[in-house]
Amino acid sequence: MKDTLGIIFAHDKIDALREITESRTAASVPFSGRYRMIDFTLSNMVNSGIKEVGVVTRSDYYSLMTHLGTGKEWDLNRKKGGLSILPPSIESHDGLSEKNSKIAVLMGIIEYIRQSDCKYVLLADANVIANIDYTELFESHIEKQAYMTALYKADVYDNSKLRTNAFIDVDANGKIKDITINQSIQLHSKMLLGTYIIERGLLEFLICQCVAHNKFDFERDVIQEMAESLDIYAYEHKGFAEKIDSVESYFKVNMKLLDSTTRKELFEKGGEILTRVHDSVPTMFGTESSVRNSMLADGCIIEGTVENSVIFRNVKIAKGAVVKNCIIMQGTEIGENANLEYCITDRLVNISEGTSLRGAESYPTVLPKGCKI
Amino acid sequence: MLKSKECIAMLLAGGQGSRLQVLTKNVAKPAVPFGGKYRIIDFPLSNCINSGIDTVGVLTQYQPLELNTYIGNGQPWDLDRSNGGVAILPPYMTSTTGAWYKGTANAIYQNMNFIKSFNPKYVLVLSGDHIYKMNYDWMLREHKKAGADCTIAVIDVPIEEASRFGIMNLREDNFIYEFEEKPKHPKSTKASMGVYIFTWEVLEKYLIEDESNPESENDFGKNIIPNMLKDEKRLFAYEYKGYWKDVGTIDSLWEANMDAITPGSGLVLHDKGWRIYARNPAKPSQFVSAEAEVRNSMIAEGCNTCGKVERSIVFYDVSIGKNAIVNNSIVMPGSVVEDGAVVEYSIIAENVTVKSGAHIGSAPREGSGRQITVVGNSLKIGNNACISAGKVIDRDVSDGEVVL
Repeated sequence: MKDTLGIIFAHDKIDALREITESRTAASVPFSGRYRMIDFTLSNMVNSGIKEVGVVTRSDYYSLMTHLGTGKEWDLNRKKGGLSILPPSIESHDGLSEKNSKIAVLMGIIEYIRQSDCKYVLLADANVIANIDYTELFESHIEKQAYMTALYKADVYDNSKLRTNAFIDVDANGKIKDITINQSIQLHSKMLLGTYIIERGLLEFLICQCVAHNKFDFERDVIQEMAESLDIYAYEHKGFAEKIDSVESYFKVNMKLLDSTTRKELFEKGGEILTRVHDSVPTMFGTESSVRNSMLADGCIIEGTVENSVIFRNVKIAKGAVVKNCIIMQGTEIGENANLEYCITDRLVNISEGTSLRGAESYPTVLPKGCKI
Repeated sequence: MLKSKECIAMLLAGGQGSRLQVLTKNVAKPAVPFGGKYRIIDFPLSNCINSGIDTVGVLTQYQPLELNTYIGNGQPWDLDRSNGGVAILPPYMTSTTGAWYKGTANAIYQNMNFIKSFNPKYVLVLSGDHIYKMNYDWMLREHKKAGADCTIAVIDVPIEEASRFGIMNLREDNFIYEFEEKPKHPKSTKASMGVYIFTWEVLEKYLIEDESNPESENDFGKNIIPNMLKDEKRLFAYEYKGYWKDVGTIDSLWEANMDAITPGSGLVLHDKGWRIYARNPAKPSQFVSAEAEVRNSMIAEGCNTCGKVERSIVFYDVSIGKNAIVNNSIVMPGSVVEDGAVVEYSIIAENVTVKSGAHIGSAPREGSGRQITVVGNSLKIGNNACISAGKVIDRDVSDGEVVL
């Protein structure tokens, strides 16, 4: 796939992630102890042989930029191609800067797309947690001589997913027959993963065409409207794939990785998920610590009890503290005898001695970045 | 304009470290893993960059492949520089001669052109086999203040251990009047740490002189320092107070690792002010299962722990099975301890498989000393095999075999 330009949509803050995206884009939300969400899509691209990747951003992209840096962890610090972070350009295209849709942001980077030498473009959302080899999607796209090919995942989805995502129906040949967006009753069960492959020239034409007709919604205005007239195909991703689009799904998917089969599927099958490395010391377990069924990143000092939780880097859990069913992000300090259940603490939260906090599985308590309790 | 650095470092990393036995069969001593994610060489390299020294020549000779790959362009230590940075200096051929490094001084002698290209005033000579966190800049300041030709870092050791070290005998003003290598009857407790700062002009002269003497062993401790003392050069001792350990033996390597998890040992790795950098792999967070029991240990990312781990150092990508016990041990990257296996007072090198039910090493019995068991790289210890304390294993051990 070295003839493919990768474009990652990292502009969306996804409102349903509430406090978690208060100061960052969804793409740079910390995930599973040591990753940021974008690591999965970016690593998948690199592992599929893509050498040129543009990351589209819009606002609050500071943490994303620090995370990606020059792209060296993904081997994308190249003279030719490599990683480009594409912040919005303010003056271009009247009115576009107001719009947060994919077509608008693609119009914003149309020059970047034009100057690429690649024949194809792979468009992908940054909030999909999966280990995907895109070459299969690519090969199917070539074989079917499709105008565009979309990646989907067939599964049993709950109502909240049905209401907020695009679902498709395909014919025996894999061509998209119908697409429903934000369905309130289940019509189709194949969820689009926001990942599309298309020839670069066609994409350019499509973007200009849409903007000229004041159409900005990729799913509605491109796929839904053109599905009948154009050969838009779909390709099924059979492995593990989860879309993070709310606090609840963020919590659920983090917890899913405590299951060893899921973890193997995500991290051991297929390519390595790469991320920015830090220089934290391996995690220390104290003489009275008790840790069960949990994931922990490096740099932590655990003296208390941790159960069914995901602990990010440099977290301190003092003696007597009990942390159950929690997601504790980087740099959080939990004081002696504090008690946390169903909480998500953002970075650098400080929980003082003896504090007791409890959320619910269906609605975990989110403690925003830097807060002191 | 000639680029110029005030002080550059030369790191001697060519030693075999034969006392580490199987652990250095295929790698040079400085590349031996330490402390859950590091290698020994990370300590001097990180000390350099933390002390503001951004030019380091690493002299390699013995089994350099892994070390070269590890150091690479020096990026993990922030030593990928356009001006300076890290350079790997193996022995080389010239149009007339070519030879291995004969001794520590000869290694520096052969790379005088490298040193001269930076036009330094001072040269810091380091070895790659000690665990310590030290600010070389403070030492350089003392060197300049004392107007010394050479400054040697020394550390106080217990008098009963002094005969294992190179001992410096000092005058009241901390200048050295005598140097004794492993003296039977030590006169002082100031041991050389193998950290030297030379004023380059002076060192250059002594290196050339020493090279022209065919009798010389071309060694800093045996030749250069004694010659300088004989000529009454100004040799200053810089007293270092902090953690320092020579990890040249299996026992001391084990001890230094344990120091990393023993409060009060003086070795503090969790210190953001003086970080030790390492080339890190990108591994998922470690997982500790519902059956696991982990206490007083350090475990790195990518590990999967289902058994009982006590007072141990577990490197990245290690898997410890159900009902397995690992205590007072060091398990290096990529090794697997299968269900029900027991590892006690041992060092398990990289990519070893300890099959289920095997038993390696044992706790010291009352009245007898501690004996560390070592299993070399990529070996397989069969089901229910048993290896007694103090053995050094350099071959596969078959199922049920007992190694006494």
